[in-house]
Amino acid sequence: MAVVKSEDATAIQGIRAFRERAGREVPELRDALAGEADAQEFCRAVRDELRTHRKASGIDQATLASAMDLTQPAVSRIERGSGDMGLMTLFRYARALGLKPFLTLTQPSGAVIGDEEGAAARFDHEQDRLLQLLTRVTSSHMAKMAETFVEHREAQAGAEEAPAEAEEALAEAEFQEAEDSSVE
Amino acid sequence: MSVKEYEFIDPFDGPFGKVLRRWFRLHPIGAARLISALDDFVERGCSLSCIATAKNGEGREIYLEPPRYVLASLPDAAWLIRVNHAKRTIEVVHLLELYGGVGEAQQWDQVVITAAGFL
Repeated sequence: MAVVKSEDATAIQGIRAFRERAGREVPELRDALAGEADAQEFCRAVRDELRTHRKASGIDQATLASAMDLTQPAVSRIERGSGDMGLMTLFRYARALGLKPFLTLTQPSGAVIGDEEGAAARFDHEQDRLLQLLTRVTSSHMAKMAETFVEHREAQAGAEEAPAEAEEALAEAEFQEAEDSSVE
Repeated sequence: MSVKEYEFIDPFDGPFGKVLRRWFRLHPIGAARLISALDDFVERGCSLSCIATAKNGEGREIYLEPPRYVLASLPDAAWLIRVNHAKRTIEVVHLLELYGGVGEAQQWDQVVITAAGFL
């Protein structure tokens, strides 16, 4: 029995019913259909991730569309569309957000396959990049903290010096007074 | 033009249902891809897809799916799909086991002739 979702268009419902029937009547097809469903899910996940990154960057669709020289509905279609999405589109979208896609292939278990060394090198590179960024941010904060500390110390030293200067001035004044009286 | 509200006619019930089942058994992965292509066709709508033959004045059109520009660079199995605007139906009428790649232009000429036979 085909599962009919009432919110789907008539033709989509018809194709879904055909897909389910084909899976029932041609058992060889079942795994392949499951694979296609996974592929569809992967595309949806990529689209969702793009949208998540855009929102996290505080950029609206119209602004991103402008950066990509596209219309806002086109950006919406990239994020909400269905089916295949070109790799170039993925790259351009990421670039417009100031990002770069980082792709690798894994076994379903998560283990990296194929170019293990390359993937490891890319991970290392990414780690280095993040470390440099962290160092830069940390250095900048450290410099600010040091500056504040020095300013604070100087201010404190100034406050401590003030009474000493007053005492010196008083002593000098007393000395001068004593000298003056001895001359008289 | 959107065909989302058109009725999709199950090809297993059509004249080449038997041939289709056999091909699906032999090429399950390609078959699954072809079924996904039907979704893409409906989502994309007629005005954005490839017309294999022009309108004949009776509201019937034949489309190649996946579109020609996709198949030209990535040879694959493909459908010829008949859209009947008067009856508001979408129907798969022919399966091309392999279309595209080298010699695509010649294949296209042949497809146009084949498509005309399904109007």
